Formats: sequence, structure tokens, C-alpha cells
Amino acid sequence: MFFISKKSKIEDHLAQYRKELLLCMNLFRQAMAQYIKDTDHDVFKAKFRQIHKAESKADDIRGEIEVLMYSKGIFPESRGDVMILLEFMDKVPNQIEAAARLAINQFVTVPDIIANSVAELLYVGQRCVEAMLDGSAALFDNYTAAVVPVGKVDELESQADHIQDHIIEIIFSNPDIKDFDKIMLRDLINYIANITDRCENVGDRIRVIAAKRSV
Amino acid sequence: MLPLLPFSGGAFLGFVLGANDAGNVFGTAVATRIVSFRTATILASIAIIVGAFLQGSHGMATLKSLTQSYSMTTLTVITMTAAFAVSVMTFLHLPVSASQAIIGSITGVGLATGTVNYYLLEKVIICWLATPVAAMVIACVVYFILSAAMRYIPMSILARDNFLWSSLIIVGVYGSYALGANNVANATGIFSGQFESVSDTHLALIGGGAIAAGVLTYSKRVMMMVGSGIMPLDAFTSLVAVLAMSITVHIFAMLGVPVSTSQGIIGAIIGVGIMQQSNSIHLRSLSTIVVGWIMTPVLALILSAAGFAIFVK
Repeated sequence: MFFISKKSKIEDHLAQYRKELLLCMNLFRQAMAQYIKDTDHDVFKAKFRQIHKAESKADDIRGEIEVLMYSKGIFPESRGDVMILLEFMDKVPNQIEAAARLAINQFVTVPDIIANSVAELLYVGQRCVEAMLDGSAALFDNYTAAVVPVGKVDELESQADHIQDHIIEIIFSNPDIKDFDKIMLRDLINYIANITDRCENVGDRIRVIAAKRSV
Repeated sequence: MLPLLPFSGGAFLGFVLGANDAGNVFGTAVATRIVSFRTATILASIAIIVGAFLQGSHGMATLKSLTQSYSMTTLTVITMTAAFAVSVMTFLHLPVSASQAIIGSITGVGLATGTVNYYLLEKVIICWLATPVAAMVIACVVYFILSAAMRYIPMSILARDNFLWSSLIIVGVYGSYALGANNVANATGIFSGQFESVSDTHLALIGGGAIAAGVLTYSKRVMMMVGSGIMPLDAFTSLVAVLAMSITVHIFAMLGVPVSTSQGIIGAIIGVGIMQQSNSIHLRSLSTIVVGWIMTPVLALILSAAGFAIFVK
């Protein structure tokens, strides 16, 4: 019974961690959508604080999970796998926060010409984060089914790459955008697209964890 | 009063058996830190004594049929040469079977006195050959059933750990029970019917106690080594191998034939390798094991025949 309660405690914490991670992405998408429409730095800063809070909370939960993982009844191999998974997952909110920080610190303004594409990139990014979270949730529900959402992550990551290339092409082919702004915009797009790359890395870990347990 | 000299040889055999064979039931679980060494040895010791006490009599009856009414000196020669053969094999880092050593020693004395029960000896040798084969077949069946269950029953990776952790402990206890039931005869079975004041129950408890003492004091090194010899095992494959070995050894305990858990676990691991279509079976280790299997009874036979000629005749 002791081990079962430890296990459910870990699973509860992992569910909470995923919730904070999703909140991070939702807040970022909302903030960026608002920012594209109206470049109000104060509103964006308020949202950024919320993103930072969610990211910090996710960090705290991760720390608690790491302590719980050192309980009996969890194999050292699984402990290592979950720790590495969390390490990779943690890079997603970090990337989200970094993208928001870049937009806010460098006063990047998104021109109308790429507004829709950026919104689409954010939408694909959010779906990719959701699929990655589904995959990691499956590990703690039915690990044999975890590869299905991971396949979706790969698909969305590739879609995000296409959108990223498309936006960068538009930016650099547009004579109305100043060279300096082009560089800043490119960085912002790369930062947003990197969120899906981080998700893909998590997906790869999930795949390895499930494969190691396949019989 | 116990005849101390021959009994010390039997007790030493039991001690070595416990130190070597506990690794076959709890080795992988302890080596991979799934179960602590302390928990494993305490559980194994209790289960071994219970197994020896409840079902050790079948194997003792077999040993009794293989022996005659021996003198103290002859009993000492048999137990001491078997113990010496086991020590030599261990020193040479060759896999050792106490069952083969004691039967080899009894046969050596039997050849010297012309009293070998060839019918029973043939039955025992067939069972020795059948042990790895039976364990291999049982491992294939167990692997098939357990892997199907794990594929189709939805579970989280942590629930899987819980399942394997509990199963490894239960199967380890069962394996220890089978070890006690089957192998106690190797330690003290030869004394069955030799002394009026010593019953088979006494012998089972003494033998079980000697095996348990070996497990509690000297099994750590072997436990840490098991699992890396033939092919690497994880928690699942270790569960399959230990369960298959335990079933096999338990069946032979009920048939009254002392067999080797080492041979059982090796057959079981090969079965797992076959099911996984693994190419990581170390053939070199296997050949060393086969050499050990042949050398143990032969060495014990030569030593006991020589010992009989020197000390008894």
C-alpha cells in the first residue's frame, strides 16, 4: 500500500507538472496573439509575469517529483528515465519563457504581413505541446500507447518547420522591413519554432522509454 | 549426539550451496538494486528452511536409495570430498553444482565398493540433463504468457515497476522454497537412515539451516555477479528466468531428484534469449558452464574413490 500511495503521489505531481506546462504555452499564445494585434508592452509584460510564474511553479513541481522518485518500489532504471524525461520536458517552458522574454526585451513588433503566419505557428506550437503532453501522460497511464501522440508531435514539428521557413522567407524578401528588424524577427520566429523542436526531443525520449519496456 | 566430522562436511556443502545458489533466485533483483541484499537474504533464508522442512524428504529418499549403511569414515569421505570438489571448482571460477558433487562422491564410493545403484543413478543423470532443457521450455512458455499479459493490460511505467518488484520478491521466495526443498538432500540427505537418533526432519532442518547460513553470510558477491554471465537481464527477463527455474526445481523436488539451480537458471536464461531472438548470449560463458557441469561430478567421483581407498580400505 505504501508503494502504491507513493506511485499515485508521483503520478499526481506529474499531472500537475503537465498542467503548468500547458498553462505556460496557453498564456504565451494568448500573449502573442494580443501582442500581434496591439503592441502594448504593459499588457504583454503582465502576461509575461504569468508565464514566468507558471514556469517557476513547474520547476518547483519537478523538484518535488525528483524527491519522490527516490522512494522504494521504483526501479533505478525508471527513476533515471523519468528524471531525463523531466529534464527534456523542462526545456519546453524554458523555451516558451525565452521567446516571450525576447519579444518583450527587444520590443519586437510583428508586421501585418506575417501576422497570420505567426499566429498559425503559435497554433501549431500549442498543438505540438499538447501532443507531447499526451505522450508523456500516456507513459503514466498506458505506456504501450505513448507512441501514438509522439507520432503526432513529429508531424506537427515538421509542419512548424515549414511555417518557420515560410515566415523567414517573407521577412527577408520584404524591402519594407528594416535589416535590423529582420534579424530580430528572425530570432523571434526561431525561438517560437524551437518550442516544437523541444517537444520533438521529449517525444524521442518517450519513444525510447516505451521501447525499453516493450516485450 | 550428532556425528560431528561427517556432518561438518554436509554442513559445509550446504553452506557453499547457499552462498552460491541464492544468487540464482535473488541475484538479478539484488544486483540491479530492485531488492536490497538484506531483504533478499532474510526472505530467502526463511523460505529455504520452510522448503527443506516441508518438501525436502523426497530428495532425501533418493539419496538414501543411492547409499548403503556407511561407516562414519565413509560418510566423512563422501561429504568432505564433495565439499572439496565444490571448493576446487569455486576456486577455478567454474560453475558448481552441489547436487553433482555429492552424487559424484557417492558414486565414487559406490564404484570402490561395487554397490552403485545404476538404475537410480541413470534416473538422476537424466534429470540433470533434463533440468536445463525443462527450464528452457518452461521459460519460453512463461515468457509468452507474461509478455502477452504485459502487452495487453494497460499500465503505467510506475505500475509496471510495482508489478515487477512485487513479482520478483514473490518469485524469489518461491525459488528459495524450491531450492530448500530440492537441495537440502545434497547437504544432509546422505545421513538419512544412517543414525537412529537423527530423523529426516532433523536432517532437513540442519541442512536448511546450513544453506540459510551460506545465504546470509557469503552470498553477496555471487548475487552481484549473476545476470552478467550468459546475457544481460532486466527486471522482466529476470522474473521470467527465476520463475521458470523455480518451477523446474520444484518439479524435480517433488520427483525426489536433487538438481542444480545453476543449471536451471542457465536453461531458463537461454529460453529467454530464444524468445527475444537475442544474439547477446555469450557462447564462451556457456562452454565454461558445460565444462563445469562435466568436471564437478567427475572430480568428486575421483576424489571420493581415492579417499575411500586411502582412508577406509
